[in-house]
Amino acid sequence: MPLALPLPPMTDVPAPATILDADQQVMARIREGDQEAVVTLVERYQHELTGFFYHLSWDQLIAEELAQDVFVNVYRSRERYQATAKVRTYLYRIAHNLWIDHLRRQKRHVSIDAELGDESLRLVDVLQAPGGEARDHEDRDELIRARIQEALADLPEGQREVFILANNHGMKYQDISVTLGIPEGTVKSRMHNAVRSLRDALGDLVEEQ
Amino acid sequence: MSSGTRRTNSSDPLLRAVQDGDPACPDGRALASLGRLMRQHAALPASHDLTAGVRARLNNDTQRHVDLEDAIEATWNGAGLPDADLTRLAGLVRMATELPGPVDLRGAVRRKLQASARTPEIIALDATSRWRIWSFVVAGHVAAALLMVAFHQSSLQRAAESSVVAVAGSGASAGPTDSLQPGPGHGVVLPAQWSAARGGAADLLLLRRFPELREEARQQYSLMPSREVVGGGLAWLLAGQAADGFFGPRSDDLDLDLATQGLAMLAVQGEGLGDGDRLAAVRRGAEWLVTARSATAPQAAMSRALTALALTDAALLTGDRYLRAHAERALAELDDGQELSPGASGLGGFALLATELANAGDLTVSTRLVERARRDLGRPLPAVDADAGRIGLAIFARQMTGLRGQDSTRSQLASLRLLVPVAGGIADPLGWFFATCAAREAGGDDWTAWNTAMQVRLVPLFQWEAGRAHLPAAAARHAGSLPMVGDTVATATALLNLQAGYRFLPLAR
Repeated sequence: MPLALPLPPMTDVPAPATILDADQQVMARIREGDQEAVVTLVERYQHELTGFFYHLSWDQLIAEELAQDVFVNVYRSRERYQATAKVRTYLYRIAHNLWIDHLRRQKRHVSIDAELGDESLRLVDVLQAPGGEARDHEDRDELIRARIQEALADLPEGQREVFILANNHGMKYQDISVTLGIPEGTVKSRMHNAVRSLRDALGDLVEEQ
Repeated sequence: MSSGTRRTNSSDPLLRAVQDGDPACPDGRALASLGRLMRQHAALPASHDLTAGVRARLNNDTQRHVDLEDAIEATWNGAGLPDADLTRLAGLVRMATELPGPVDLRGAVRRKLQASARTPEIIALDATSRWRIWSFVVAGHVAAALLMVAFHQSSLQRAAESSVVAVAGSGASAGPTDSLQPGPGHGVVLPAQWSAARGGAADLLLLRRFPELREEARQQYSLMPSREVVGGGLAWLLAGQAADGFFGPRSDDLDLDLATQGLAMLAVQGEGLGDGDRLAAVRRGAEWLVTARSATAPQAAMSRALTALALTDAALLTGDRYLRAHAERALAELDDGQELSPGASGLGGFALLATELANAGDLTVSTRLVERARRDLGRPLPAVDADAGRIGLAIFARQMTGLRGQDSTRSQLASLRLLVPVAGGIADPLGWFFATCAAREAGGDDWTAWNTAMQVRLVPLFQWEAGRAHLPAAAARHAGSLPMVGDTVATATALLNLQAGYRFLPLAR
């Protein structure tokens, strides 16, 4: 499986170089080639990273596969990690790059299939499968879930990623800015637009509560 | 504007009269009065300056914008008291986006790290080193391409010269070795002993990736007598592929169609990806499988297993992440708690082959499913009067799980020798599949006996037309009774047997 491109060194978020937190101690072991340390990192972050990809793809299998790639990339690019970077932000940065990579490949799929004239292409449907299935479900909760997922899926990619990182992963604007490699002002405006769109789309659900 | 200054250019005399009091109009004066009256009563009661209102609304909008920004910052960026409505929105979204299932990536990451350790870490190299390596890679590929062209020419010449190739002949190709070794042009030299071919090579599909290697394998493993019908059968399958990706006519029984498509896909993929057209055919075929099984989950065990196997094979052959995800999903659906059974002719074994292939190819497949397939499909001993396929599955499963040297395996191989296809008997390519796999893994005399008899029985049954060959349904057991898809099933399953020499590197441990 192709892995993401080489990563830039992560030096944006300063931290005391002498006191290593638990994650940085794990990273130090990984730098020495300890594969079991990667598994420790997996135990700590697998759920939220899989969640990150799931919120972008709505496909748990794709999410798990990309999350695995994050950890493998951490190991493969271990020489590039600098202890001044927050490990969590570093992981999300890799995750973001992998997601961009994934989207590029996905676009290639679409173009290949378009050339083939294959009208049965279901890539987009597949990525939105949970929503599609839920729509058919009679259970009200499932319908609400589908509506919310659809509203999220309708957001432009950049806004969706910012909103997911802030809302579902509790990241502050500064960390999102580092993770996505965009100015904090852009994070703020994307967040603002995302919230407005979601509020417009889901206003009745918010009021119901 | 006063009525006295109003002058219209309208050509309508009535309008002119109403607006300007046209004297030429018969009731000009009355109409002018009417116009004046209307204007007076329709006038605004007082002059109205909108500036303040617009300014106020703009300020209001700005304030609301600022308020929303503040509320968003407070709710998500920890800057102040969270807004109640936004907090509800945040909770709703979090509730609706929970992962559907538990996650445990430790095993998969471990496997990937181990695989990763075997690959060169170009990521750690500087730009100059990387450039150098890429230069070597490009130069190497150009040189390899030239050598392959030269090799292809010579191998065609060699094939033309030897019009009859002894089926039972061993070491037909020059220079067999004891293990898979690097060689000129196509990259490897095949070993004389099949079991030695796996060696350290991780790519189970290696022999399918290059036409030269398939050719070498055909010669090395005594498959030349069926070379032409395999080519003709492949052409027939491809020619019959419908625009939606399905191979041949459909039966409209979804389970049967899924199984048929799975078999046809495996047969087409058995000859590698070839040119762009073949790759396109594989992708269309796989997309049909993906779409069909997404719409309605297959119920029959064999359909589910064949779908998972065909998608796994396609994912490994193409390296396509999309297919990989769907293969893994199809594999996961095999793990639904339903009993796995070897079934008649060992056809339940397709599930075992799918899980073993996925496991060896580093696809995500649950350990529980792999173990269950080995336990439920691999371990049960066949009945005394079992057919070749059922015995073949028992042998094949033991070979794959490291039990090839066991007495029971040897005894079953001896039983299989008694069941080799005979002239005039019913051709049963579907039922023979696992026997062929087992014989191939066993190699030596077991392979020679089975392979010779199988080819002698199958090859003459193919019917040729316009450079394409197919095995008619009526000539194959099971296929004759299938509605619409019989020819496709018969041809595909025959090809699966005839491709055994290069389908996978040895799966046996």
